[in-house]
Amino acid sequence: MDPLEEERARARYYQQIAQQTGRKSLQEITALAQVVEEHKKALKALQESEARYRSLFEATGRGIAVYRAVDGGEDFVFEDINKPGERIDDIRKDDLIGKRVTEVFPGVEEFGLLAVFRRVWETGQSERYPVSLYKDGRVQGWRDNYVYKLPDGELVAVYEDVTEKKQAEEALRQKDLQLLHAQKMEAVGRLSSGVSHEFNNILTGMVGLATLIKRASAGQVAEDAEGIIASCKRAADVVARLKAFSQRRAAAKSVVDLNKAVEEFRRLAVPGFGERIRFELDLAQGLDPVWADASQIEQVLMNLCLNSQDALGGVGVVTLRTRAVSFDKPFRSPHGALPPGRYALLQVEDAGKGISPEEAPHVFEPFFTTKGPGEGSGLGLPVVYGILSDHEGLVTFESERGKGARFEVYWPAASELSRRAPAAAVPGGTETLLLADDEPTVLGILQRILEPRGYRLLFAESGEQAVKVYRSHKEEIALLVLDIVMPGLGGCEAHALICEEAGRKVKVLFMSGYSTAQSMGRCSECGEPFVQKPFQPEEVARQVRAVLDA
Amino acid sequence: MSARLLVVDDEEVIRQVLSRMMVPKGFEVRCASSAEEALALLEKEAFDVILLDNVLPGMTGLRALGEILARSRAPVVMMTGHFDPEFQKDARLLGASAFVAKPLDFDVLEGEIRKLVPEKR
Repeated sequence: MDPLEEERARARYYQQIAQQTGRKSLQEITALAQVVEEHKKALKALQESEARYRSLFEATGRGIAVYRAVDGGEDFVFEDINKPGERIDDIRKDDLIGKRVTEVFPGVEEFGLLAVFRRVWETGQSERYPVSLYKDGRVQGWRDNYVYKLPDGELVAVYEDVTEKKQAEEALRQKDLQLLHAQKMEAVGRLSSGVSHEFNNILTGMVGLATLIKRASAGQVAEDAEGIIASCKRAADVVARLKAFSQRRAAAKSVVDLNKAVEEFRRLAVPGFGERIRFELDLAQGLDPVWADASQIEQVLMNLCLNSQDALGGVGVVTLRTRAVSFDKPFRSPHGALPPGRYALLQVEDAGKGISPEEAPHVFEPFFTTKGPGEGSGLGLPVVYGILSDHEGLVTFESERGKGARFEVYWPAASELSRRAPAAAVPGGTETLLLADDEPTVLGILQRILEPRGYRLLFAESGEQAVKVYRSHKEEIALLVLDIVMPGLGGCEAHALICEEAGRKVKVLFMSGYSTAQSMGRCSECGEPFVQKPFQPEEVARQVRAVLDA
Repeated sequence: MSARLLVVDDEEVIRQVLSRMMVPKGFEVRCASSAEEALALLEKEAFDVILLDNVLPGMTGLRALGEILARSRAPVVMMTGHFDPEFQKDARLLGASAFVAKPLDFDVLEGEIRKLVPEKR
C-alpha cells in the first residue's frame, strides 16, 4: 500500500474510533490509538513468550506441576501439569486441574512431600526432597522432587521417576549382599572344619587321660574322671554339629514327597515338643516331589521348630506350611539366589520374639545365638543352611523384632534338577581328553557328561595306564582329567610323569571325593585345578572348558 | 607272643594315651608321629595292626594309607575326625580295614583292634 493511501486509511480508522468513543480532539484520538497499538504489540509478545515457556515446560523430560495454595497453605490445588508429569503419574491433565493434591495423591502426606510443599510455601525457600518411594492404591514408584515458589505465590514441583534406576541399584545391592554372604559362609565353613579337627584331637587326649585316671582310681576320683569323660562327649557332640555345617555330606537323596515328610515329622517328632507348643499344618496339594535326603528334611524341620519354640518362649503356635512355587526369573534373597524353575516351599512360622535387623545378617553363622548361655548352641540354623546348600535349595526368612518370624525353605523339584543339568549351555569342544580313575563307574559318568558335548575321550583305570595312554596319543591329548587317589600311581604323580614325558606342562584337571584334597578349587598338593566328587555334570563340563581355554 | 600295634598320630597325648591303654591289655605298642616315620619303622619291623590318623603333617590321608599298605600286610584302622563316606569309600578301596571316629571311644577302638587280631588273643 502506498504511504498516502496508508495515511488515509489510518485517518478513517481514527474517525471511526472517534465516532465510537465520542471523543473529538484529534490529539486525544491519536494518543488512544497509540495505546491500542502498544497493547496489541505487548499482547503479541506475551503470546510468543507464553508459547516459548510452554514449549520449555513440555519439552523437559521431568514432570512439572504447578499448584495454588488453599486453606492458608495447608493444601494445594493443581493449576497445571506437563506431559511428562501426566505420564509419570499415569493421569490426564483434565482429571487433575482444580483438584487438591491430597485428593489426587492420597499418599502425599505419608510420602513426606506435603510437608515440603507447606514449608516452601511458608518460607519461599526452595527445597529438594530426596529420592523416596511414593505409594497409594493407584500408583507407586521412586520419585526425586524439587519444589520452589513463584513470585506470584504459586508452587512448582519438578520431579523425576527414578524407579528403574532404583530397582537396578537394589538388584545390584542384593547381589553384593549375596556374594558377601556366600563368601562369609564359605570362610566360616573352612574355619569350622579346621577347628573341629583340632578339637577332636584335643578331646581324644582328654577322654583318654580321664579314662586312664578312672581305671587307676576308685571312689570320688573315678567319679570325677567319669564327669570329665561325660563333658568331653558333650563337647564332641557340639563339634559334630559344627561339622555337619561345614562338611559336604553325602546325603542319601531320593524322590521325596515334602508333605509326607512334614506329616511324618508331626507323627514322630512333634510329641516331643510337649503340649505347650501347638503345631498347625497347612499343606498345599499338587506339590512337586523333591530330590532330597528325607532324614535331612526332618533335621531342617526339627531345627526350625526348635528355633520357633525358643522364640515363643516355650508356649504358642508353630505353623508348618507347604506351597508349590515357580520362578520364571532368578529368585534373589539376601541369603542366596535360586535359578528359575519349580520348587516346593516349606514355611515354618511363629509369632515369637522375631529377629532384629542387627541380628538378621548373622543368623546362619555358627555359634551366633540370642539365647542365654547353655540354652542354645547356635548351630541349628547353620546346619539348616548347610543342608540346603547341599540340596541346591535355599533357606531365607522374614522377620521383625517382636512380630515373629517365618523361615522359608525352597527345595528344588526333582524334575527340575534332572532338567537343570542339560538345559544350561556350557560350551563343549572337539579336543581329546584323557580320563583316569580307578573306578570304572566314575569313568562312565564322565563319559556321559563329556561325550555328548563333543569331546573325544581316552580312558585309563590307573595312573600307570594313564602315562602309557599318554605316550601313544601324545599329539592329540589336550587335557588330562585325573583322580588324585588311585592305587599305585596317584593323579599328581601321573601328571608329573606325563609332563616329564611331554617336556612341557600338560593341562590337567584333578578330581577327588575327598574335600580336603583341595583348597579354593585347586589341588592342595600341586595347586592345579580341581573338581570335587560327586560331580555336578555342569560343573565338570564348565571346569573342563575353563582349563582348556586357560 | 603279644600282638604288635603301630600308632601313627601327630598328637603326643594321643600316642601316650593309646600306649598306656593298650600295653596293660597285653599289646606291644610302637608309635610314629608322621607317616614318614611310620614308613621308616615298617622297613624294619612288622606289626599286627596299624592305627593311622587321617590328618598328619607332611604325607597325609589316603596317600599315607596307600604308602603304608604298599609296605605292610598289617590291617590298618583309620582314625578319622569325621564320618565322610566319600573318604571312607576311597580308603576302603585302597585297603583300609576299619574306621574309628575321633574323638576316640577307646572301648570301640579296642573292639576293632581285637576283631583284627583274634588269633593272637
